[in-house]
Parts: sequence; structure tokens; C-alpha cells
Amino acid sequence: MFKFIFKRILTAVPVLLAVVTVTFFLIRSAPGGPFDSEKTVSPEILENLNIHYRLNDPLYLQYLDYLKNLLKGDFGPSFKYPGRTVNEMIFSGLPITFELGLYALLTAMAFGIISGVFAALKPNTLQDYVPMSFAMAGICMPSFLLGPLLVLIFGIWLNWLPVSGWGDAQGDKILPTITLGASYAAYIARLTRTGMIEIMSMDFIRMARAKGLSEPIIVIRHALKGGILPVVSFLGPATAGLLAGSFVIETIFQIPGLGRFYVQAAFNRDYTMIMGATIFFSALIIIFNLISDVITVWLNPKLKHEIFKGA
Amino acid sequence: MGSTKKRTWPESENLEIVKGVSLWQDSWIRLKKNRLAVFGFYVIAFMALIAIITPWIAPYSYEVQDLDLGASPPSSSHFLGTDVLGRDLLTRIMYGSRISLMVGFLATTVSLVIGVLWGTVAGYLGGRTDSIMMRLVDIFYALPFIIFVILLMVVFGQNLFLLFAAIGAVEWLTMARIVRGQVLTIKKQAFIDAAITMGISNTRIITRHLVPNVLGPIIVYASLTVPSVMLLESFLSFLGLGVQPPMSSWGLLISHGVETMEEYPWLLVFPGIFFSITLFSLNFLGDGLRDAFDPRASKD
Amino acid sequence: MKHLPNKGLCLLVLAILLNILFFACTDKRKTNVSQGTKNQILHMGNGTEPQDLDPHIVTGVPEHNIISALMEGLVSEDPKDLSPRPGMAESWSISKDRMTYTFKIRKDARWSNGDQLTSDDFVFSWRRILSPSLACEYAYMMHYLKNAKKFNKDEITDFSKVGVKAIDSHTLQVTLESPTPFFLSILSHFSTFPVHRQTIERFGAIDKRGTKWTRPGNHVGNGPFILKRWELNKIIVVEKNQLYWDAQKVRLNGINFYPVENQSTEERMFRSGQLHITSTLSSEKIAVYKEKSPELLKIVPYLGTYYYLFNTLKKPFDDPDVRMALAMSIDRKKIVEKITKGGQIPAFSFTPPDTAGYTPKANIPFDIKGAKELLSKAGYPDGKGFPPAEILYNTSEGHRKTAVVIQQMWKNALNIDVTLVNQDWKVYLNSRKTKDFHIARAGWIGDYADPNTFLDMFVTGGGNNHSGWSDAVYDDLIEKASKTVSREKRFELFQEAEKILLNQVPIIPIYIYTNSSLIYPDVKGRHPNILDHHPYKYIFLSSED
Repeated sequence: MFKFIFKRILTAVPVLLAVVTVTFFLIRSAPGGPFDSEKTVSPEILENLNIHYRLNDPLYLQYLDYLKNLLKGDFGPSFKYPGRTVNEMIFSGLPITFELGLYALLTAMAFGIISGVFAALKPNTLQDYVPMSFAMAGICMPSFLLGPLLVLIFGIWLNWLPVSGWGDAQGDKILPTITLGASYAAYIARLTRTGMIEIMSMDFIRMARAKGLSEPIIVIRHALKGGILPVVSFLGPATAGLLAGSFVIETIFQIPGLGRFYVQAAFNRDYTMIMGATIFFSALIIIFNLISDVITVWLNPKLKHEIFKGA
Repeated sequence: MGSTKKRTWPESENLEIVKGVSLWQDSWIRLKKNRLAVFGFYVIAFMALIAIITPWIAPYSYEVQDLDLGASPPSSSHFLGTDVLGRDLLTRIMYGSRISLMVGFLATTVSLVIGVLWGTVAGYLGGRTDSIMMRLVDIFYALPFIIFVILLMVVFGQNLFLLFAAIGAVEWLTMARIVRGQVLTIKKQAFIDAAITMGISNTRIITRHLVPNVLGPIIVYASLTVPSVMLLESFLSFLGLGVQPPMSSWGLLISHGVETMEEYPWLLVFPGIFFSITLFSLNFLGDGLRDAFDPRASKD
Repeated sequence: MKHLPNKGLCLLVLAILLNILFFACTDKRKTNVSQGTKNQILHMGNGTEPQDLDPHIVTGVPEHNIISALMEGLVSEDPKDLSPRPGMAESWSISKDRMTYTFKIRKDARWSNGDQLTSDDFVFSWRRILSPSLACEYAYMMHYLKNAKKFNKDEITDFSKVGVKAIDSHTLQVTLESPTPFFLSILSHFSTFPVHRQTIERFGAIDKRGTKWTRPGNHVGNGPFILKRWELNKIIVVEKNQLYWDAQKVRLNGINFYPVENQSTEERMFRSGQLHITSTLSSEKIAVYKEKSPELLKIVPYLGTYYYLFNTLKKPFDDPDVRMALAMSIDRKKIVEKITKGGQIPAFSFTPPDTAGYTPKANIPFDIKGAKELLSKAGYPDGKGFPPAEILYNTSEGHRKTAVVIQQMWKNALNIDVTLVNQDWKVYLNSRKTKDFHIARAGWIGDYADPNTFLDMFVTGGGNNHSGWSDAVYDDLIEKASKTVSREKRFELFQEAEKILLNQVPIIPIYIYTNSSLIYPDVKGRHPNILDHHPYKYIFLSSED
């Protein structure tokens, strides 16, 4: 297993390199540069800016330069915020986004798995329809709607919770967590339900029942492991998506996280910042997909050979 | 996939139906028994019908404005009220359904086809192939989507097919991972070994044995993809790819409705209701299909 | 082994739940606003995260709001009419030919670290902003100085040739290229503000961009406030500067700036008492506040024009008749009343009315019948044969609505079909720059209160003239105006130039901007004006009337 993880981390290097390369040339070919603004910058000034940020060099040289600095751990200066380095901005935003994502994910998993299991135990009964309707509502309700709605109700009408911020006032983490977690809870609930229904109809469960094991033990000890497999596959990308998707929530709740930097950077053509955020983002995806694979094996040891030999 | 004999797999107790009813016919019969699924099917068919005949039955034009009227609540002349430019909301929802349903189904289909194929092949072949295919998925995941969309728009101009391509291009990734995860589990089961021993070709094993057995999560995830695709469309339109005003879509109506949800709640509520009804129906249908296609489904 | 992780997980979940659930819902929270008013701390919504706080690097309004709290120029602004008031200069004299200004720097001018501020600081600062390699986008604000443009373009390298000289440590002499009647108002623009030499040099060379001198702790300023805290995308806190020369007049103890980009979020923060002032307000909310709580809503005219721009190099927009027909058939009154709703003024000419006393006489009529005639004269009777055309706008709710309405107005009045194209900001700027458009939405905010800032943009080859239009007579008039001393004569020249502009219609003026924001009545001493500048030293907070 450790050999597997080690190998996977090794394969991360070419993956990251590919991401860096493709992204680098992708963003450079997007129209509009970092210094375009409503009031046109005079040609001389633009020239000087280009010299300062070495944008006049041939693209491949810029690319090699970037790689060189990257090896030193230097993501370069931000083009939009002249006094900031990308490293600084990422490390100011990442912990917040990470915390937000973690809370949202744990909340989503707790609610999603529990209601999914309950629904699957008695499919097509009220015990199934009620949680699944909630799940559907969660999916139909995009975060750009749920967020403002929750703020209006709990922040303004009831005046129970702060309308914005993260860690500044008591309870200001609740609404963002719920907003971000809601749709994931819904996905997880539905995937859990399906997975569980499949497993519950399998022979080994019937055998366990025949042995007279109690239903809770069957569910927790035996069924859950296989039943949440689709959820585990979903979680790898979802965790990464959760972090990226936090942009909307960070905007609504005025949270200074990485999601906002990332999206703003794309709109501002802040080349270095996009690169930096993309690299972190892909590292997260690689890590979470790895974790998701490890959990898959842990839940289903039969797959050990299958998954591990590939790396 | 055409009709095929019911797969005979050793551990199943369905051995008695060896011939006669095909998998698809059998599923169809089971589906028809599920009242919720049938209801869902009719609702979606109804929505699709409305979307098709909208140009002939819409009460108003989707673009003609009445600025003096402005946003007005539901009334006898405008059943669902009007938007801030005085355009009839019902008409706009009807026209919006054309875009949203098309995007929802086509983009989901695109993502489904790519994702399922990618995931099954990776999962089934396993080993190095699996590893490479999955790392490619990781790479696609990491690319900055906004930039990708902007480039698409700039290179090709705005058109609806690009919209499907752009959405399909991101949505298949998760699908591929889910399918791969399922395939990995299933391929360890005895009936696949049996098929391999019998010398059945890989293509045949994948299409005839693997895909049908992972249909459950596929159908469920696909029915979850539809709403996210419809909402993604509004974001892409915001970036300039996709529908342009005065045409609209459900996603756009909802996102504009959110802006004024305190002042003109009907602009959010009515598009939201149509959106939700369609998605609920779709999920009933999805669940019904899942149950109907379940190869292990018992007859209780 | 099997049960252990569960226990750990339970504890973790419990800890997190406690962390996020820890709130007191019985206790009415004290709001920023009530607390702030008590302690004289102003809480202000400030649009976007400032690019930097270096006055010689940045360009935007949010940056201006913060820098004007931290620094001060030779001249400051009157809070009501923005006329020049003494700042770092306690007095000044102007030579007869209006080409030489002599400023007396006040003796009690101090930097926030206690250093004396002298005229050398200005010479250093202006050398810095004009240094080509600093690449300051606002360097053109200083081009009125003799030889400044040449130095900025690297044509001369000897700064002593530029028209700024320290006669002694408290006398600064400035020589201009030509008499510039609005020169004093330029001196209250942040790009002319002095920076502290030792601080700049401690963190890098004079022309080094993006050094850390603007960080809290490093920053040295000369304004009424000092920089205390700067958290990226979250907050900037400034506190009263006791060394400021006019400190006894400053009543605020501090200001908190919040970079809130989302209009709806900002409005909610205001409503829940987290902000005294918002930076904007959406048009739908304006209508609501007008009706329900007009005392919180402040709408002030702004020195800017919203307009549509023709690409005059593309058919059929190379024909002035076509352009005029389109310009004449827009019902601007409807647009400002039904769409923008923020008390904007319909614009029938380009320069906003009463710009430093100048009100354009020429205008574009709203005349659908005349427009139809012009269009058929141009060869498109009743819109027949009008080639497909596009309106380009950058993504925004307001631009979208305006474009949809104009599209419909043209359809109704002239029977022509145009399609709409929205692009994200940078793509839009690029399309505009490369003239890859037919008609584009645009806006122009004046840099200073003078018609010149509006009219000189349409001279041939002007950096901001994206229409491709050029007219020798027009160029000549603008050139002449810049050399004319007499106010009446200048304005006559501008009137004539504007007449040509509106005759040729490379642009369609649509409305004059206003600034709408929400302000609690606690905020006192803040007066409406066209540049939306509000010197903080006159502002105070009080819950009494």
C-alpha cells in the first residue's frame, strides 16, 4: 500500500507538469491581457509593463522561466496586485477555503450518508420519499439561490446569524457551511441510496440475514462498506470541486478564500495567479483522488490488486 | 444495444427465465408498474411537447417589452406576471424550456457517453491503462474552466453546440470516475470470470455485461447531472457562450430572479417551480429505470 | 481497531459542530454601525480589493478612497464644491502667464514617522511617477509639467529639465508646458501625492514596482490617517494620524474599508448594520429604497457619460446618416426611468452638463420620424437591406438590460434587427481595441472637472478613441483650447468641437452617470459632489440630528 501511494505521488509529477504546460499556453492564448483597462494604457507605459513582467520574451522562454521559478517554489508576482506574490495570496486564501470545504464536506457526508441509508432500507416508502425529496430540493436549489435565501431568513429577518464574514463573529461559519454542503449532501444521499439498494439485494446480505444478524449490524458491518462505493468515487473529484465551488459562497458571504482569488484571477488575466491556483487545485485533485482510491481498497480489499498494480 | 438474452449469471436466482423476454422488454414491463416513474415520464414528455410547440402556442412574444408596465405580479392578462422589462414571464419560461431541456439532455448524453466508455474501459482493462486514463481525467479536472470557455467562445463564436461540448467536457469526468469505481468491483465477480473463460471478446463483455451491471449509479448520477448542467448553462451564458438575450433559459431566469427575489419574488418562484417539477420527475423516472434495469431485481 | 476510527471521527465531528454552532442567538448582536458611531469608526463598503496602496501605481476608485485617507497632495479639496483648499501647501501664487506656480509648503507638514515633509519630497515623488520604468498608468496626469512627457517617454533623462524645482526646503516651483486652467484640481489627484523617500528607497529603487513599502508597519504617509491593518480581500483598517497638520480638525478615529464586490452582499451587510456606507446599489434596490426608506438612499450626479460607440470603419456605420438615425431613435428618458432608475440624466450630448461651468449647447434630438428619413436617405428605407449588426457589451446586468431595450427600440422605430453579444471584461476590451465590433457599449468617467477630459478623447489617434473616427477641424479645436487661457474662449472652442462630435455621431451619448449608495444618517459632513470625493477630515459620526 505504501508502495502504491509512493508510486502515485511519483506519477503526480508528470500530471502536474502536463497541467502546468497546458494551462500556461491556454491562458496566454485567451484574448485580453492583464493590463487592459477601460482607460487605454499608453503604448510606452504598456511597453514598460511588459518589460517589467518579461512579457516581451518569446513564449517558450517565459514558460521555461516559469518552470525554473516553480522548482524553487516561487509562483511569481501577481500581475493584478503589484505588491503581492502569488505564494502570499494563495497562503492567505487556502486555509480559509480549506476549512470551509472541510466543514461543508463533513456536514454533507453526515447528512447524505445517513439519509441515503435510511432511504435504502425501505425503498419506495415514506422513509425513502421524505429524505429523497429533501435531497432533490437540495440539488434543484443552486448555491447562488440558497445562500442569499438563508441570509435573508436567518441573517436579516430573524437576525440570528451574521450575514457575512468567516471567523469574525460568532456563528458566521454556519450559513456558508450549510450553503456549500447542501447540494453535496443531496448528491451523496442519492448515491448512497442507490449503492445501498444494490448491496442489500446481494447474496451475502441475504446470507447474513439468514444467519440471524440484526439489521443495524448488517447495515453497518457489511452493507455500508460496499454501498458507499459510488460515494467514494464521487468524493475524490467532489472534494476538489467543493474547494473550487466555494467561489460562489465566498462571494455571497464575503469570505476571503482562495476560490475568489482563483475566479477573479481568471477574469483579470492575472497569469501567474491563475497558474498558481491551478497548480494547487490540481494537487488537491490528485491527493483526493488518491485518498478516494485508498478508501475504495480499504472498503473492498478484493480490489487491492486491481487498483494498486496500475500505479 | 439491441435485445439480448437475459444474462445468465451463476449466483442469480433468476435462472428460471432463460429465454423469451429480453432484458429490455423485461425492464419495460417493470418500469410500467412503477407509478411514480410513469408519472415522471409523462411530466417530462409534457414539458418536451410544450417546448416543441411553444412558438405556436406562446401567449406573447418573448422579446416584446412593455417598459411602462415593468415588473408586474401575476394577473389575468399575464398569468405568471411580467419581468422588469414588462415581458410575459410564462412566455419566457416556455421559450426558456427549449434551451434548458435541450442543454440538459444533450449535454448529459454527451457526458454520459464519454464518461461511461472512459470509465468502463479504464476499470475493466485496469493496470497501466487504468492509471493513464485516470491521470488524464485528473489533468482535465485541473484546467481552469473559465479560461477554457472563454477560448472556445473566442475561437468559434457563440453557438449552442459549443455549449454542449463545453458542458459535456467537464461533466463526463466525474461520471468516468464513478463508473470506473463500480466496474472495478463488478469485474471481480464470478460471472465476468465466466465470460472471460468462455472466450467472449472484451468489447462484448464491456457492452453486454459490465455496462448493464453498473447502470444503477450511472442512471442516478446522470439524473443528477441534468440539473447541474442546466445551471451551468446560465454561467456559460454569463461568460458569453450560450444563449444571448432577448432569448432566455431556465438557468438564466432563475439567476436573474435571485437578484430581485425580495422585490419581485414571482420572477424566481415560477421558473423555479418549472425547474423543480422537471427535475423531480426526472428523478422519479431515473429511480424507476434504475430499479427496472437492476439485473438482481427480485420479483417482490 | 475497527471501532477506533469511529470514535475519533465522532470527536472530530463534535468539535467541528461546536466550533460552527457556537453562537448566541438570544443576545442581540451589537452592530458595527452602532458601535462605530459611538467610537467614531466609519465602516465603509469599498468595491474591490485595492491593487496596491502606492499612489504612483494604482488607478481605481477603491484605491483612491483609501489613499486619500493616508496621504495628501499640495492642494486638498473643498468637501462641497471640490475647489482647491490648502493641503501640504499652505499658499501658492500663480504667474501672470499662468505657466509658473509657486507653492509654500507648510512648516508643520510631517510624515507619519515624524520626519519633516519638504519640497524635495515632491521633486522626488514626481520624478518617481514620471520614471518610465515605473510604468505608472496615471503618469499622464503630470504631463502638463514642462518636459514631463518627454521624460516619461524616455526622450530626455535629465530630470532637472522637468518643470519642478525645490527653491528651498519649503518652496516648490512648478513650470507648465502651457497654461492649464485645471492644474490646481489635478494636484488633488492621488497620482500627484508625495511619497516618503527613505521608505521607498528602503524597499527598493525609485522605479521599482510592487515593493512592500505599502504594508502596515512599513507605510509612511502624510494624510489624516495611518495604515493599521490590511487583510487581503477582507479589510483595511486606518487610524487617526496625530501628526497630521490639521489633526485637530479630524473627528473620525478610524475607518474600516471592506472590499465587497457583490452588490447584493453589500446591501445585506448594510441592512444588518455592518456598514455605514455602501459603494453602490443595484437599480432594482434603488427603486425599493426610494419608496421605503429614502432617507438612507443617496443619489448624486457623477462626472461620467454612458454611451454607445460605433465602429466607423465598418459598413454601414461609416455613414454619418446611419449613425445619426440610430442615435435619434433611442428614447433615453425611458431608459433612465425604467431601467437604470438611479436618477441618471438622459444625455443628448457627450460632456455632462455643468462640467466646471460648461454645458454643451449642441444636442442629438430624439426624433423617430427624422431618424426614419435619415435611414432611408442612407439607402435603407424602413430598415430594408440593413446588414446584420451586433451590439457588444461586457457582462453585467445593467448593460444587458440597456442593450435589450435599445435593441427593441431600434426594431420598433427603424425596423432593423441587431443581435447582442456579451463578452467577459477582458475579451470585450480586446474586441474594442482591435475594432472587432459594430456597436459597443462604453462609459467614460472624467479624470478632473473640465470638459477637456471628455472631448480630448476623440482626437485622431487618441488612445481611448476606439471609434476609428477622425476629423481635422475637431482636432484643431481641441488643440487650440489647450493653449487658450481665457475661460470663455476655451469653452467656445469646446462648444464648437462638441457640435462637430454630435453632428458626426461616432458615439451615442445615452445618459449621465449618477452614484447611488446607501448611507446611514449617522454619517455627517459628507457632501455630494460630481467626482464623489469626500475628504475624510470633514466627516464625523453622530446619531443625533
